[in-house]
Amino acid sequence: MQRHTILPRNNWQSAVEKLGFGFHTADVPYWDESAYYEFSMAEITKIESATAELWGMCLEAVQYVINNKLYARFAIPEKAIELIEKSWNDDDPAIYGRFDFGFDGNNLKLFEFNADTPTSLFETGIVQWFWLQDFASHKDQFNSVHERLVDYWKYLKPYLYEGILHFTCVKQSLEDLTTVEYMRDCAIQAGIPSKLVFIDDIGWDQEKREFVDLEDEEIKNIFKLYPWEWMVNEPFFEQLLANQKVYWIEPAWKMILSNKAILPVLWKLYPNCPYILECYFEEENSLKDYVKKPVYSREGANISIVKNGQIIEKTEGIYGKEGFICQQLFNIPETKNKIPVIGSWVIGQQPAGMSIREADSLITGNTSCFIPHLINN
Amino acid sequence: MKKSKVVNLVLITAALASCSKPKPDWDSNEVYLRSDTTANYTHTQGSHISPFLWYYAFRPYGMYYGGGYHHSGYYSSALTERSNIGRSAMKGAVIRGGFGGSHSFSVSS
Repeated sequence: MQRHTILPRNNWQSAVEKLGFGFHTADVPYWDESAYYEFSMAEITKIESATAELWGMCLEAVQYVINNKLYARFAIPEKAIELIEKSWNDDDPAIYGRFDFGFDGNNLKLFEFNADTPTSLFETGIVQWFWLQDFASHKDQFNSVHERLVDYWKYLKPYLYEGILHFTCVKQSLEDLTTVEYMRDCAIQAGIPSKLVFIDDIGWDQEKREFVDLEDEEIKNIFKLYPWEWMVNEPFFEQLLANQKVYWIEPAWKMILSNKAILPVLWKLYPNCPYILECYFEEENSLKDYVKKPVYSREGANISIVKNGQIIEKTEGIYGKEGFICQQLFNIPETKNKIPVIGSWVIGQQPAGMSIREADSLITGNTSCFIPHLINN
Repeated sequence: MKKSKVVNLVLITAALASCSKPKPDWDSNEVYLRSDTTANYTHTQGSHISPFLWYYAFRPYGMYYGGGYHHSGYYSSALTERSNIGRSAMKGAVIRGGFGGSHSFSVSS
């Protein structure tokens, strides 16, 4: 894994905007093609194998949590349990997830699994792919995201309820809208009729006792870029429980996998797995060098890095009241003061591609840049 | 090869490319609206709503019957209650806003 500094394309802003990528720059560029990462095929094979292996372990871990009723440790409310177990036992449709890894050239370690609402899908599957077409089209890239999304929607189509597949997200985020519209694009290519409805526009028909869109058309299948841990605390969750003949994608059992409490469970079940870092719930922690993370948190919020018992870096935020986990600290080598985190995608149960976010600090937050990659054969 | 052989987009380029364009240089967002064809017009402003999402401030409602969709008016949180609440009975059966209220920013993770 090597970082190379390069000149961005002259017209890179217009090139990515033509693809529909409108949030490439905030205060600083989020999409950064002034560098790229080069991987050997052996490294990619390692990441791919780890992703497949961890996905299998994660499914085992979900079963373990359900069997042992560990919901309280995950801060999952009692009212959600039946829904979680039903979605798991019924094998409700699920599409994707993203493992975040640290890699030091030899060791690949899992930091967390974004299993419910992973973003940067469009940047990975589309923007990065077209960048390689311009930069070195003869080279390869670990990135079959687009093909796998279209194929998996085709596979799922007969399992969905007949009719429309709705897509939803918050109104105020172009990033979220882009992710959802990209996912919808793939579903359309799979031959599935679709509609967009923003999350706060979803209606509940009190007479028919069904969710409806803005045209009062019934919602039977809906892909949501909106976390379950927020939904369970919102008024319509009662209605959701009242009408369980709706496929919510990702399904409710992802509440277990997207929760950082899954990390100590994975460590307990698989202490010899080379990809899993030692990890404990806070009250059981005996580590001296560790990262303390809330069981619910986003974009690097409320994270502390502790070395020899002293906090060396910390972020603020709104999370933490549900409890913390402590994960062994893993050092990623810096290149030009940049720290890369690898996002490895699972789509339709299979490893599907890779994204790299680069931060100036040990904690990857919402200002981290997306850097493209290629494989050197 | 580990990369997709071909990538085609059918929706997103057209739908989202306009989002990166500069905001129109309008003198004012002031408009006169009514959300229900049976209600009165009032003056409102939409300066906090991006042009792309502007149309979503006016939430249509209606009903399917007789083999087609019959539009009756719009819900809108941008309008005063006086113009939002008319005599149409169709609005009564559906409640909205039960999801999305606790957080309105990106869910990015």
